[in-house]
Amino acid sequence: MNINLEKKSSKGILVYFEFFENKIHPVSFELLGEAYRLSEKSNEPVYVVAIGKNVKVIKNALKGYPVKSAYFYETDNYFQPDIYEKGVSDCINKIKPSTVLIGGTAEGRALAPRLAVLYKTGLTADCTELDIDENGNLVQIRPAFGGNIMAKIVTENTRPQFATVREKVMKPIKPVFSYDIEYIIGNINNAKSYMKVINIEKEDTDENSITDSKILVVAGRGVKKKEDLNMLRELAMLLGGKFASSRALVEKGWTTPKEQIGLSGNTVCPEIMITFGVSGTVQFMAGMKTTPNIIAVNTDANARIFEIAHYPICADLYDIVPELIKNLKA
Amino acid sequence: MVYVSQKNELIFPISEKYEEYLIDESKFMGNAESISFPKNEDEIISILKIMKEKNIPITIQGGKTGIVGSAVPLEGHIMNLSYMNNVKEYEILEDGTGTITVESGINLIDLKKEILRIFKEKALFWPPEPTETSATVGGIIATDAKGINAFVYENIQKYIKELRVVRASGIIEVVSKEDFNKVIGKEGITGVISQITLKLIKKPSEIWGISFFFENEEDASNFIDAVRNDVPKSETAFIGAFEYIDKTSLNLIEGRKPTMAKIKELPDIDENFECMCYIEIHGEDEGIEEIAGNLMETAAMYNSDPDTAWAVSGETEIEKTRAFRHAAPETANLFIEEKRREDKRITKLGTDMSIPNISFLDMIKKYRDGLSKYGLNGCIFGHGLENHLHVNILPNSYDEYLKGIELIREWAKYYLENNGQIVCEHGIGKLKKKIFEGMLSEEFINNYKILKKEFDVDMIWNRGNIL
Amino acid sequence: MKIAVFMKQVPAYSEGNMDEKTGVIIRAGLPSIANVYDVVALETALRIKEITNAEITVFTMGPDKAEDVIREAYSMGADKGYLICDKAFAGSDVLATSYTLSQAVSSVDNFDIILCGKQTTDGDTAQVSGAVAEWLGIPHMNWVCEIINVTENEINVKCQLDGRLSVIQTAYPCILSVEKSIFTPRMPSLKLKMSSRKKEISKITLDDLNDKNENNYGLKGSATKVRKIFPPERTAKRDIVIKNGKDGADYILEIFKNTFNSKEENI
Repeated sequence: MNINLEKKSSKGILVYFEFFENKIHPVSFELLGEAYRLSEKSNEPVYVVAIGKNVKVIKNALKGYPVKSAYFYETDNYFQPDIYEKGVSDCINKIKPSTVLIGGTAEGRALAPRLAVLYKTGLTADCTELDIDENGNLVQIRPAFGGNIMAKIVTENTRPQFATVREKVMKPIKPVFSYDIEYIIGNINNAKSYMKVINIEKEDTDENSITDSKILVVAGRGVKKKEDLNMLRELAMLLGGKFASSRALVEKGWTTPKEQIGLSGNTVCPEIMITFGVSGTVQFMAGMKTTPNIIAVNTDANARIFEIAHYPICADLYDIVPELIKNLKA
Repeated sequence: MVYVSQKNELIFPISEKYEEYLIDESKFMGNAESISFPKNEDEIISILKIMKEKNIPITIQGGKTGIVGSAVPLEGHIMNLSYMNNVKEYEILEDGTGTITVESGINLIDLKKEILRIFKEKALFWPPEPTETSATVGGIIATDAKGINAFVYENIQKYIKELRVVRASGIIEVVSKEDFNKVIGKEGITGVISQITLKLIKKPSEIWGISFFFENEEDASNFIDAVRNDVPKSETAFIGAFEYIDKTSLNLIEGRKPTMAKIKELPDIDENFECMCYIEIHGEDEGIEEIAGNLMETAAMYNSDPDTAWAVSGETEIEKTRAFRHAAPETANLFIEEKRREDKRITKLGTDMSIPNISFLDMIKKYRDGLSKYGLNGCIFGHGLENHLHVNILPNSYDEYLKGIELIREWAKYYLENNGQIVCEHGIGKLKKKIFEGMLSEEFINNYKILKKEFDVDMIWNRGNIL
Repeated sequence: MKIAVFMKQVPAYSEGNMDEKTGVIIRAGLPSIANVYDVVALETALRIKEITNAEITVFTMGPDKAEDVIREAYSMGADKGYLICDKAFAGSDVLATSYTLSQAVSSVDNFDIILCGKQTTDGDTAQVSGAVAEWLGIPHMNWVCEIINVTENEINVKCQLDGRLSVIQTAYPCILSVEKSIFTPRMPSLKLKMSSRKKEISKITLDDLNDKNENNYGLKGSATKVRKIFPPERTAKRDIVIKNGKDGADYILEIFKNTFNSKEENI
């Protein structure tokens, strides 16, 4: 097809809703929020597609959202890319959207490439920022090289434009709209594959590695007694992160090598780290200095950790931690 | 309480938060009244002046990675140089090599990064490789640390162009080449090294790191002796490192591996192996292969299955195997650290001796006999081709610690009687001074005394080291 | 049984390799390595080989120098290696890369399993495996974290999805992309490393492919275009603040809120 014709005939932003055992993945609403913001700019409708068992229950959850129509494909199959592809492609064939947004989740990132190749079009992975330019191109910004480089990417000549979007980056919107959403129910039970999901297992959530955690609360030499670590462990839990320590406390036998950050321990790079009473030895900093957000609390304004901390706070951890816990529990 | 220092303050009284500056990798802990972190030579001089007026001795500190307590203060003032870690200037020479002038507190991690940033595809490096990457250049020079590549790159002096030292008089001296030996390896007793111009040389075009595994120590020893007697060479390559690691060390490393990021990604070592030899070959691929083939044949003769030998190449992979080698001393030190928690008197007890005229097999047998005679546990690793092993006593009690000292003295006596050297690269500091009390020859001590007299008659610098 | 493994050569460090002014990636002088995730894929192939006696063929796409990756794979135990190298392939995005790879494997053999690493350390997309699967019209699964069982005819694996593990069974052919945690890669063997230097590496150019239309490859065959690359906005470094008690706690929670600016919506 002529490129311009194809571009012209493609309209709408389609959002893939991730659905498993009657639950919608939260990233779906983040995508919906972003789709709405983009649609305001490009003056296009927003669509939703979802696949799964008993998927039409999503209807209730969509109430009040700015969606033109929602496509639900019923199937007994648990997620597998080649099967779910059939549902999304059926929907795309019907509405011919200009843009398809999929969550940057395990499921989304497995599904999206098949669809992009099916339509011989562009796919940009793990976007952290989206925009639409004057020509209707989706401007996609994503990190590469382990976050050391940002790239601005467009799909100029083909449609739809596929993007997977990182979780917890886009803001969801509130369901305050009064749209009369059209629901289209289909099924993909006749989709066949020699691959099959034979079981779903609960994940062992007890994976205790500090290297995987997005949030770390780190204790250092400034902690005076072993018992005081309890409040820092509690804080870590309340913040939804993990507890870690500098080598000094491992040396004292208060914490384990598994919890140790530094040259002779673990190298970590969480999204955000807050250190309490960590002075910042060369050995320690070699194990964490790429962390993008470092909050450091230390009573010593000359503490070396303050040289690399984004938020250096000169304060006593014994003053601050109980307040934090109180606040988070409230 | 929140403590905010005054802008121009240089000297801080010792408090709990400076505890970490009272100890180094030897796990020997000292005492001090004050500490400073000078940022340049002027500040060094200002601090020195204040201390001299009050006759307070100054202990110089770099990365605190030393293992004889040289940087651990017994009293007085600590001058920590870790803020003096800048590159001052650099020069690219016509022959493709270069020089880089750094402050003495720069550590090897930063030095390597800066060299890469400045010289890029020129691919230069500074040869001393003590494998402890947080060691500072000043500390390496002060202890004359040789590391794993000394066998081929030889003396550190070859890679220093200029040295600046702040003497006790407060004068900055640019040390002439002839006088390098009054600074290198003198553990800071003649002044504080403030700035160094390093000579960088071209990296070998390729490095291979080969690990041979043996099911018993005797086979490994015979292998090492066979290589020593006829070191394989080729026109375009040479052996750059030849390291031995024994079973106890391997066990310590394997035990720590899951929590050490640097070596976590290496596969587990088969339990049947008693020991390994880690060998680096530097040069061009063809020459390297020639030597590697030769080594493989020799190793096979001594029952090392060539199918089990590892061989890596490329900088990143070599870094990993070097980290594994470095984990040997690191885990031994961690063992001491744990014991020290039970008994503060326990410190590192490691040998740093070499002996020229006996076989590796006889040497290691001597160590094993000693350990079993004294009923002690110890791990052994070190430099194979130089008969230079680091035996680390792993005491379970203070009683065993004392026995360990006795044993090391016994070994040292034997080494001295047989033209050996009892201090090679770790220095004497405070720990070896104690351990070898009465054993170091008068001539040896006198040399230091003369230097001390010449440069620091008031004993301001590093009091307690060597003398 | 035949296994293909896709491996890519990447810069050894991801730190500081962009000229912040020009936005150009500096590669000169920086060492290259085999993508660590792909080495895990190769290890997975070697483990399967230990069970089924499969033959392992490695494919890498890149400049001539990328053959180092194949030599490394040989020194770990791979049987054959192909370097996919043609100036027509330069500048490929996911669509063009996956098309080139699918054309290349089809030109060599019918493989039972194609193994890929989770992602590369330079592109970070984790998309190529699924895209190749679509071109080849075969099923695929990502995030494989365990092999439960493998035979000449089928394979059972466990895949790490968000908050759950999916146990999958599939006949061949299929594409699996593996998590790093699945196996610790073995070290290259000295013996194999020595022989790998003399071992043959076949080259695949545009001429060797079924579809020889160069418009389908490289920059021309790519659907996406990189308009700009630039350094990420780093969190600005603030001055030291003195904030005690409740003030300090509020300040910290505010920082947390701004870092994770969207909250999970309850439905």
